[in-house]
Amino acid sequence: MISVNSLRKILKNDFLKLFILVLLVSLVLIRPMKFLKKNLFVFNALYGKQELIWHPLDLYAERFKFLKKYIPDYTVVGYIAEKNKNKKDAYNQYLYMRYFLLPIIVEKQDKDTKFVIGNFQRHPDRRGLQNLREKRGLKPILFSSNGVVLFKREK
Amino acid sequence: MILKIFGSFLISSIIGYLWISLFNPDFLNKNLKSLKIFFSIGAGMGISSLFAFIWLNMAGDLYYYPVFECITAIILAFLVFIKRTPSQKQFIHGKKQTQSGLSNSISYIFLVLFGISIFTGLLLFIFISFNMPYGETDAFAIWNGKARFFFLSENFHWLDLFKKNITIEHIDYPLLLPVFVAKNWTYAGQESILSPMLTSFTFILITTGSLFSSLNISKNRLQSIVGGIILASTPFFIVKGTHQIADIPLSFYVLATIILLYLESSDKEKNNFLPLIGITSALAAWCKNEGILFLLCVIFYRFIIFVKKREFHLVKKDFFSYLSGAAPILIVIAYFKIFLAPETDIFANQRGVSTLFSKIFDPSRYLLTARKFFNFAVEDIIYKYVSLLLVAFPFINGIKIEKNYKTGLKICFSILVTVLAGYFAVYIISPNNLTWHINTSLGRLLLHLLPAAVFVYFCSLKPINFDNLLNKK
Repeated sequence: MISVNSLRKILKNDFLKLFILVLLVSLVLIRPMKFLKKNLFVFNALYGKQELIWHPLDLYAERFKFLKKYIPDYTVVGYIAEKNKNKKDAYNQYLYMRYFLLPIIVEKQDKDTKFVIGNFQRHPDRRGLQNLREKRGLKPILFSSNGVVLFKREK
Repeated sequence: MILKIFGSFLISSIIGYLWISLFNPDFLNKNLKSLKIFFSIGAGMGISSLFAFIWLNMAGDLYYYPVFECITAIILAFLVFIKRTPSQKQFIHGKKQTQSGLSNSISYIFLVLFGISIFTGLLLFIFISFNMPYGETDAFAIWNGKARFFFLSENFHWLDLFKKNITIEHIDYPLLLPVFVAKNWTYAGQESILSPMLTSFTFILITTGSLFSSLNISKNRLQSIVGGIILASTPFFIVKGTHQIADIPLSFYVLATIILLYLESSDKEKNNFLPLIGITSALAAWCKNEGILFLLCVIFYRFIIFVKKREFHLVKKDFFSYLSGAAPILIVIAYFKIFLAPETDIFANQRGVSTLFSKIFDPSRYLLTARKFFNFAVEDIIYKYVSLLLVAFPFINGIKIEKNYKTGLKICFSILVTVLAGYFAVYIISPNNLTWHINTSLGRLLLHLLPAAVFVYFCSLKPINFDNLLNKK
């Protein structure tokens, strides 16, 4: 084993010190290089070698655009969606929509708000809509072809 | 549009420079090199956001704010012109630095390595920004979401966010970042992802630049380059920077305050940097809730613990000097916290005193938190090669804290350790699922302290010197 004293003696040599320092500093650069390699796909996408994936927020902007015409700004609206096993995914979907619809304020749940936005994978069937009307007093007033429904509270 | 956003940044930086000139002329008169520029940009972004928030409260929306900001800049320039005093004292560091620590040829090796780390960091920033143009979830859920609401709202409707009793996350968070981003959009006349991206990039740049520049002043060129490489080569630092959240801005204000505390204590000419320390520490509190803990620690250690040698009237004078910089910002933070922001969820969601005590006396929570602190620090922040470098450095050049710097280093070190302990304590009493809470936030919290910790670490080492290496042979 090298003792601390012998290590100090070795390190008294300035050239050795410099060599060790340059080596250690160079090693530090390895990790950012690895990170860069991981993200190189963006470079490929920019040069057309790979298709650039649209950010979900841009897709959501299109999906919910029509609602802006019907809901006045600064209105607080509720939100309902199908049960999604992936909680993170469900939450992100809500956040994308909330960001895009600002300055309409979308609550996380269906609270006692005048309007409620339904975000479904497919267009909901008649039975499902009837159920919502009977149990929660939500009357569908606006549909889109991609599963977005605007409800108005009856009570 | 791009030019307008750049213009907005330029006006903010000018305001920062003028504001510092007005409140702390001692700082700008000194030979502190590029540190003045970096601090002016950082302080300017914070002060601009503060002005924009005051304007929102008075006018109801940001529509005419650019006019107000330009007039403010002109008035500030006029006040600075009236108040100007010729430079009398220079900043003289405890030990006069004559050696760069590097001869020219050796200097190139380290400069090349530094260049590579900066270039890699820049590419990483560009690639991740292209991949995540809206930042990570917190960016559009909290920071940019609020910015968008402020930008789009008219006639005081921005207050709806606070007054309609809605359940949107973290409405209590301070508003430096959202208001600044909204201000840039107002200049541009439209929303653009360029504003949050450029804000994030600027904070990364000025944090790295401040670390490099301050180590260059207080130690030597070699140590400043190595410090800069460590920060620029920490992918977590760059990645979180691209996420458009407020953690990197906070780490800038923490670093700036720590640098100023250190420089102030080691300055032989006894220049007064306290107003600027007040500005940067208060802006940390305007940036994130964690900044409030930092602010309290700065006040506690600078004015209470280390006053033994000083007379009380001097401490009082110092404190008023500090308040002259901090007070305008603290008044706005107090207004926001008292009249607008709801209680912070960590405290609001506590389920009774008995539950709180059961958490405090639960050793498993301490063990889990300590383990996670260690894991995050080693995996994300000081990963293996950086740890190796940090461990090897004292062996290469030795530890030597000179008498002049001791108090400054003690204050800086105590502040960082106490803030870290504060973060630890918050996890212990957290009302959320502990593992989830730690996993989603700890890395970012450690990042707040990383640049300042690198600065304190290198300041406690002897300046390494290879000046005569080639001459000897």
